[in-house]
Amino acid sequence: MPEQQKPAGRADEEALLQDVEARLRRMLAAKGEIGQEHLRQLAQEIKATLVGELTSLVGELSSVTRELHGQITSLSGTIHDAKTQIAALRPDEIHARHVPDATDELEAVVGATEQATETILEAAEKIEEVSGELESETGERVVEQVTRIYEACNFQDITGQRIAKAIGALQDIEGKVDGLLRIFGDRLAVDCAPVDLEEVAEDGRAGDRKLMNGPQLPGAAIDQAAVDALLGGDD
Amino acid sequence: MAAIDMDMPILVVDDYKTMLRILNNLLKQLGFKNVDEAMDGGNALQKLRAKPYGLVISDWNMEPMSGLDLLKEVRADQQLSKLPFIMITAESKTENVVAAKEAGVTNYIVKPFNAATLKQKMTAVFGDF
Repeated sequence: MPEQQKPAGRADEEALLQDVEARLRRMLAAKGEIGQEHLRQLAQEIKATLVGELTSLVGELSSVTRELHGQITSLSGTIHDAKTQIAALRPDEIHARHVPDATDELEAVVGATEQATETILEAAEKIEEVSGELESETGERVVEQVTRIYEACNFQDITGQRIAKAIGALQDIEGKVDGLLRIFGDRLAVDCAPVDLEEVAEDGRAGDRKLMNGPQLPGAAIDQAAVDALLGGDD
Repeated sequence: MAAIDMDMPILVVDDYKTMLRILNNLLKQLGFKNVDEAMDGGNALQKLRAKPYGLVISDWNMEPMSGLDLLKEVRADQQLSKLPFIMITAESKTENVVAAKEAGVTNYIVKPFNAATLKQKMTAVFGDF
């Protein structure tokens, strides 16, 4: 391999060996023969050279190691902080309650508007039937208004599609939260206490404010008969 | 353009029941009493292959077969390829209209629409009625 392509460490080693070899040759040339004293001197010189080089190398490695250790410690701190912040977002609550609740409410909106629209259309159709019994001009005016009702009921289709998009976006968020929970899993549980979903009040509400929950989902609400029974009145 | 046959069977396709009902009522007001319904593209294609229709009015956003897929199937079917096909949809981007046109749509109505627009587009397809 050409000299200039050898890695730096290998070049240093070769330079060291060449230096030692050069000293040996000078000593041999100067003295003509190698005596015991010369051998001792030579051995000490070689040792001093090697020790010097090794000490220098160890020093460099220590410096690199210290720097690397510092970087890893800093990175570990950053990761710990990120985990703590993610845990504070309560992804388990987002997954188990907030997203499913929001999805359920939106689906209830679609169901309720569909029912209401069907009722409106049915009434409009009956009006249109009856309009045939009216005198011509009046009947036409009634039909004109019935047509406006049909056109206005387009809204249910549009709102239904918009809500479907919103549900899709929520489900995407839920998927990403699932991903976080999979990555951090048990380690998130170490950073924050498990939540009792039954006990946590929305928005930290207290007292009578806790009673304000808006419309219930179908199946969860009590009907008027149940209310009357609770009140114990004779209406 | 041939004179329109007011008794021709019309197939209305939409996955929202209320929209099917609205279209049915508006078509009746225009004088078309022979209206069938389908709630997805696959069911619509079955009906189209089972009896002759004079017009298809279809939504775009349906699963598993969209209105665009239905249109492409209709145009690819030798028996159905010339069938007038009006898309009525909330999809209102330029690229949607271009895609429908390239697929061979006869006319395109954007939701929400009114009775006058429906009549206008049907007139553009069949002539005055």
